[in-house]
Amino acid sequence: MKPNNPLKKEKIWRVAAVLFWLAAWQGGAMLLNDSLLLVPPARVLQRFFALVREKSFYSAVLFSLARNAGGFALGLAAGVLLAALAARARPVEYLLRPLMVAVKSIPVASFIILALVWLSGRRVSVFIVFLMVAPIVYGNLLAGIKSESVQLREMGEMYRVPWPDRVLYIELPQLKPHLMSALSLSLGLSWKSGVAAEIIGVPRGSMGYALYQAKLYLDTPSLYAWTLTVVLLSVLFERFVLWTVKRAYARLERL
Amino acid sequence: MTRLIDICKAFDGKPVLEHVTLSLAPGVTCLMGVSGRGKTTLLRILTGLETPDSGTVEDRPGRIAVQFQEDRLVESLTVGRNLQLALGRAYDAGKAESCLASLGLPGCLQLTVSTLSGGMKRRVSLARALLYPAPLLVLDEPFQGLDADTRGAAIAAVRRGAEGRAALVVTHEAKDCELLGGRLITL
Repeated sequence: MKPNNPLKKEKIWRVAAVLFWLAAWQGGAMLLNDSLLLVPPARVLQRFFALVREKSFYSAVLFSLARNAGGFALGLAAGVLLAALAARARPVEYLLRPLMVAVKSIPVASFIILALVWLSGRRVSVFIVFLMVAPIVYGNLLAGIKSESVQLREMGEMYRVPWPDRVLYIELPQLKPHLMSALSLSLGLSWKSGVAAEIIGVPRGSMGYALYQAKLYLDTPSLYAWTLTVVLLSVLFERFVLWTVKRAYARLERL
Repeated sequence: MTRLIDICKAFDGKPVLEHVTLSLAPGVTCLMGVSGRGKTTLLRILTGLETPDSGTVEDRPGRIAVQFQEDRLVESLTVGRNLQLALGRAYDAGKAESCLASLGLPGCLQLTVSTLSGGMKRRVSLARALLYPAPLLVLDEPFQGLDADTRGAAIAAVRRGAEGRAALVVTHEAKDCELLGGRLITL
């Protein structure tokens, strides 16, 4: 039976695309026939399921998750605060501009190495995630605040709407697309940069440390399995945060 | 009594208002004039949203109930929440419902603004101004886009809402002013 539903069609295409690349991966692995260079997907899955049975797997996941979430929360809070300040006072925006440009353009690895001079390996990932997230949130939210409707702001002024209500019901709904885009962009980047910081800083017990060890001992299946874990956690973390924000907005609209 | 005295305003060197003086006594005052004559600018100066180049506004009340030329409603919220947002503690669901019903919008408190038609939004924004407890009511083209029936209901509601306070209504129809029982001023 042919699927007429466009959503169903879309899903089929998505699954087909994943299967295609998995098949390409498998084909490549068979062609090379060297699991040190390219591990077949089945081997990766096998190693992944072996990993999840180990106790150290969960402590490594918790270690990295806590630091990533912490850095993300700090970056988000700083980005929101700085955007609000910059929108109120132009000098703040001018003052922050070179800093934001520098943070955006300097390679993450440089920051990690510089941060290692100041901080222990255990703390570097928090700082790096913070550093990657804050400018994205700042930039998106500042653009959002600038594009907010002057008309609604004037309405709030005329009707003397208290400022917490203005923020909740007038400003936040208008900022929704900007906030969602900032979160989407920064969530993906936070895991990439956080794990990179762990690989360079090699704090014991982190996922980065496990990845580094796998590379050191040429344990390619473990390297792939840990990478798969990072990807899965990144996707789950992103979905959880976006779901929470969407739910908060839905509740706000129902109030 | 709020008074606009010798108001002048120009945009990019082009004069929009020249030496306009106006007193707003309790009751309805209708302001008419062709487009571009500065009616909305005058209202913005009256409400304090715009500063005149010269002239003064005397005895501007602390609270002014305004219906803007645009609806200025939060699209993602319900009608009730929009009213509550503007009215604060003065919000009374019963009064809001009866005001909306008098404007031909019964039972729409729970509807989300984004689902309403243009005419419905116009009336919701009118209800917000009418329900707001302020000594001065300022309405910028409140009947714009309304059909004959709803226009009649809106005129009656404005008449009631203006009782005991000063109201300045911008309109393009002299007949509206007549029905509102107001004095007519042409810009």
